[in-house]
Amino acid sequence: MLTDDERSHLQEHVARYPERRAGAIYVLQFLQEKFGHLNDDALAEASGLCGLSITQLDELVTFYSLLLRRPAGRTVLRICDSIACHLAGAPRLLAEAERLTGAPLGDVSEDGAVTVMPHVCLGLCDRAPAALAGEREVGGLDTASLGELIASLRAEAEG
Amino acid sequence: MGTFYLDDQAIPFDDGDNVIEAAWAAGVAIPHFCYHPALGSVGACRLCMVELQPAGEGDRPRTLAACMLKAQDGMRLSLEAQRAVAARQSVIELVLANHPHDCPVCDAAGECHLQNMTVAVGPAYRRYEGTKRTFVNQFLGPLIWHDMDRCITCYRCVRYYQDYTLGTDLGALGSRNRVYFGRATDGPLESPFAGNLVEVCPTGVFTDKVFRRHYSRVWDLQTAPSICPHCSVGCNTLPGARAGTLRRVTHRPNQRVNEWFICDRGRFGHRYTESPQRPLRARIDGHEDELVDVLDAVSERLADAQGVVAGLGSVREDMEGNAALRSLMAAMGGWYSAHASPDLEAAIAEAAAASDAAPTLAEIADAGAALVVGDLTGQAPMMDLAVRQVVRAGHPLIVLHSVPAALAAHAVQALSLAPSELAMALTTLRRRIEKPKSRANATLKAVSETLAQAQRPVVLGVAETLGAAGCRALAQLAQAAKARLAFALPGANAFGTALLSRPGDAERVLRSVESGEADSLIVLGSDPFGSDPGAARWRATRSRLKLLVVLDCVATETARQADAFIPLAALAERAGTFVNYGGLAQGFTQVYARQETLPDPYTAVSELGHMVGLARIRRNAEILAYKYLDRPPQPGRTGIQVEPGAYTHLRASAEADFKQVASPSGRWQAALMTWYGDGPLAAFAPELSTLAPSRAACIAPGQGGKADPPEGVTVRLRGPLGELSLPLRYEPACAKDAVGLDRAAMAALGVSEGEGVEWEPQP
Amino acid sequence: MEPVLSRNFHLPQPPGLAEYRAGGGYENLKAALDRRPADMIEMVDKTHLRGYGGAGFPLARKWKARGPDAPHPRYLVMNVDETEPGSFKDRQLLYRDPHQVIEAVLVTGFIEQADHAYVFVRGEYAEGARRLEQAVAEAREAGLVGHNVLGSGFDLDIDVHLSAGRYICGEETALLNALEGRRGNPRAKPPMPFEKGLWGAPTLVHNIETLCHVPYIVSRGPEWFNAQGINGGHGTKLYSVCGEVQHPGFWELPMGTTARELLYDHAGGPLEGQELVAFLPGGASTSFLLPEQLDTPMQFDAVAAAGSRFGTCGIIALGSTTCPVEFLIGINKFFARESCGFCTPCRDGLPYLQSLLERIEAGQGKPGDPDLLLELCAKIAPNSFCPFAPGAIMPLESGLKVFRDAIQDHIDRGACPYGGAR
Repeated sequence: MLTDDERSHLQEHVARYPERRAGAIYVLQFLQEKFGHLNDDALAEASGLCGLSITQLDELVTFYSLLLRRPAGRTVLRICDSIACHLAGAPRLLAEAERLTGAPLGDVSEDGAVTVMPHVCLGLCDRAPAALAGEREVGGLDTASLGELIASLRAEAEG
Repeated sequence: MGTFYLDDQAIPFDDGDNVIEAAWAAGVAIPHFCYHPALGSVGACRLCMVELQPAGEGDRPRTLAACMLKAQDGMRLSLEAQRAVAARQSVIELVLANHPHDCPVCDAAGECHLQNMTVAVGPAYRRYEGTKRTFVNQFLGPLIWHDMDRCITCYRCVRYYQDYTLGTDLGALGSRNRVYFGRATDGPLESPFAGNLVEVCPTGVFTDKVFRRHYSRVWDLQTAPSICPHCSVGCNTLPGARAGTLRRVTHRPNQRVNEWFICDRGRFGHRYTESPQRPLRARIDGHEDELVDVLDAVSERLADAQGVVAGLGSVREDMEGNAALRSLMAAMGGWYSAHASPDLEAAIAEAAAASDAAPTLAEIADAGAALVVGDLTGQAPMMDLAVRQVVRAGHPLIVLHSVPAALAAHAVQALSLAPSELAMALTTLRRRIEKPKSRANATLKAVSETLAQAQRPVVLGVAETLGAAGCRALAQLAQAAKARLAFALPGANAFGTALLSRPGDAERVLRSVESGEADSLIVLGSDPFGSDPGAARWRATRSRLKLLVVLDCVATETARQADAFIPLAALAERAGTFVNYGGLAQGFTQVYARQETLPDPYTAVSELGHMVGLARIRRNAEILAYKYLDRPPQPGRTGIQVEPGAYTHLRASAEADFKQVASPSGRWQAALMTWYGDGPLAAFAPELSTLAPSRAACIAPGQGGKADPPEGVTVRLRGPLGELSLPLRYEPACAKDAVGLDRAAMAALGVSEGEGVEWEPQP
Repeated sequence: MEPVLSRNFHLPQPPGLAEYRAGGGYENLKAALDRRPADMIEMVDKTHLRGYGGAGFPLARKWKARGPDAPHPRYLVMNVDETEPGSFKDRQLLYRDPHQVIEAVLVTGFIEQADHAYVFVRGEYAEGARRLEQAVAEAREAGLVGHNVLGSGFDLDIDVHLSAGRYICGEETALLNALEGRRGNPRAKPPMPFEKGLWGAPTLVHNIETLCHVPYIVSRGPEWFNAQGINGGHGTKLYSVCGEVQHPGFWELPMGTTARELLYDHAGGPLEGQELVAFLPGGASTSFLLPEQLDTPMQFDAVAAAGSRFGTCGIIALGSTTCPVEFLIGINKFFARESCGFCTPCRDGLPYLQSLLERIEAGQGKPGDPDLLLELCAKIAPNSFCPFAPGAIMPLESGLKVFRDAIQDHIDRGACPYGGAR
């Protein structure tokens, strides 16, 4: 549940636009940050704030790649597989990540620490192969540093 | 205005036309998927590509989507140019890449736009050898079947559902080649117009789930032009039957009435014809017999009767049947009314009299503002859909309602008023428009301003809810606001029955039965001893009647109580005429014949007349039925507008004094809660009926004084005729002091809209 | 060359307001506020400044198309949706000098007499958006943003909008839909955004790099700007190079710097033991240039004359040990996945191409496949709804010709001569 302050903040944000729905992306990002992913409760809150039905919100959530409709690990590790990173070995890193987490791409690792997904060009082409761990940029990955990264994300989750 | 050239054929156009529209009007069909005349152009499918020949030196020819291309004078286009042909064939190849090619088992085969376009455009063979993307389908309710693998992603369904009907529970999910048209979760589609998806979808993604259960290939169906029998809009339909059973109903396009769509009651409410409860055999004194023998027995009893005979027609029966009954009663010296309820008769007369310039649905859709009084969605769903177009265009909608009304969610101003307060509010509004300084509360002031400032305003009312006084007040308001006016009347032929009625008919019939003067009653297609309006007084007369003869096509309570029962052909099994809310008389014709012998009412009543020695009933009925038209309307053709002469007659009916609705005794007033799938015929459609709201007595919260009783508690309701227990449900949109009840509850209690009820929670 | 846009890039942290001003920041804004918008439009017109977001449309022409009499409200949108593979220059502007970005918005907003500005930042640049929001707050406090900018009587507030992803949102009409809280499908043109954009109002959308040049142009003049370029180019350019080179990176250099200088002098040439086989000069959605074209000046006209597209000028290099079919698969995979799904040729055509490329790489290519690929490409590009698919087809169509022999080799051998996909 949103706190009263949080709800007022979102109501104010939504009121800034000629149409309430223009505030939907911000509201959804806020709720995702708070709940970890956009579960049914989060969408119910968003619906009240933006004047969109659950289906209409789902239209947005399923279109935009940074919005998560299903539970994700504590950190979402997005490994770029666009051309520069592909050339630098992204496919192998993605396969290795699946092996290390024990979960297919897009699923949550058993310990809930991480979800790994391929992602579009992150604008880190000079540091290929690159990834976003949550909002943190990681460049120059290889299987070893990927292993360390995943291990540290698991340790973070535990602690 | 101008001319462009398509493969050297000159095509005229009006300013603003796009190429596909202008070509269509000139008889040239440009292949397309996503374009639809009601939904407009979005340019998604890219099938309608035409080549634009270069206008100037150095320009290259290029391909453009005809649906998005505004026609320009002198423009030279080609459908047949190699580039355009290749573009179109490429689109077909691409949409078929993932297609399951399951035509042999797909319901849409034979009327599938994808099939038609593939055959018209080519190529005939597939060469894609990759994997096909597939989906998991959803349960979308009892009426619509979902099969996403067939989707060509034309977006028509969501453009129809969200943009056209303002629905919110069907959307475009996902992206790229995995776009999925569905709901956030499985469950019945909420829109009263969801059924049109079946026809809007150019492939077999959305198909008629009810039709599916007793399927026929569409080319094996018998079809003929018909008119929907469920409400006063008179949508044009095309029922499809096979082997003597009705299988489905689809729309028939008619720009003057329903344009391209019908509502779900019209589409799925036909199932009464196949209901196991449908009475298909004539009955006398509780046992089945041959029709001719039952008619004979009835004619004998009528001849032997001590008292006079009375006849009760119906708003849901055709002109011919009602006219035949009236002629028979006249010839026998008896009494006739088309309406069981004097109040309703007066309301219909008042409403019909004011409807001489009633707007068509298209004209409603084009309004610059709309005022709606009553729950339009339950009574005339397609009028509701027309009002949604007003909202879509960004124009104001005002709704006055006593019970929750779906349209209120889209209104700029919505007012809950108990039924007895509606007429007064309308009068106040009228006065305020005539004299802008006259007194009114803040909300009514705002409403009157909205109306006064609007261009092309339209005013719509539910006649049954308004009553005669309310209808008159609404008509006066419309005149003051220079607004076009239409009423949702209670029945497919309510306007027609108003033409056949004289002021006071219903009261005279009731009094004749109540006093014992009439001891025989012939009831055609109505339910005075069940849940028709007016049942309260009628029920009390049953014991006085020595002979009750009922003619109907459904198993009503009245039919159950009949001494003699004549089963009638269902509406699609016979020919007849209905007159819609705007005075448009439309003919429907027989689509199919059942195995059993079932007459139409005109024939049955005329035959009865013949048997009592009256030979001219048939002829008189014919004259009477078409009195206000120059000729009977031909099925499948444009209807005939009732002559202005008829309105004089109606106005005379209307100007007669009507009984003022008594102020309700006590605090609470009954208010009718109906829904788009409700109705005496539609109640026998099992699939549609599963969507009916659960029965309850509804009130607005916060009226309980100290504390509201908890939701769901059983309340005992009391009315003049009886008592009834129902669960309590809170609906904030109910008017103060109003109790929302369904039709059966109101009949059981013996109350009409605005009449008093008592209720209390059960311990 | 004197750094212009990158003058603060060397700092360990982006400069705050005080530091930015100490280095001459917001002086250009002051200069602009003293000029007339019509005059500044003429100044920019003389520089031939074109959009650096990929489309390359001349900025002054866009302003003139909207004209001075457009109704209000008017919106200015700065596009920081940089997702073109190979392009990472906009990131630098956002992350390393947010006040420069704000100054660009303010100057452009004044020229356009806009009522409100949005900076649309791709969601993956969240940290950059945060830095920009902080800078906007600083600037607002100092009377630079919002009501009565620097006492000029001109009002302009700036909202930073963080997107929720997808490459298509970089296309200006899809961006408008995303800003309005809708799915990011592009819109039909006409109407143009400068006629009907955000919520039906006149809207102008520009790339961040394009706008960052405007304050300098209006302050120092078009002659100065034009003189910064070489080989027929004007002004400076943030170039980026990535792919199979020794030192991928970005540099601000004179517009018109040759590909050879970028790839070899700055990016260190191909990887150890490899040769340069080909390069995409303007990001993924451009066609290949070959080693014999290395002396092409990297500016709009010269690249077009060489048969490709300047785009965002994010150069992607292909070395000699990578299978070119795999390269094309990597490129096409991106586009097939990023298709918004609105129109048939893009949505269903790109995956079809992918299936053919993959079977070729897997050694299952059929003799007709190269022609089938070219045939499909020729039908996808001209028939799509928006420029996404034509962009997607460019590298593929070009690669099918340039690497025809290698592709044929895959088919003849029934295997990838490079050893298969990595």
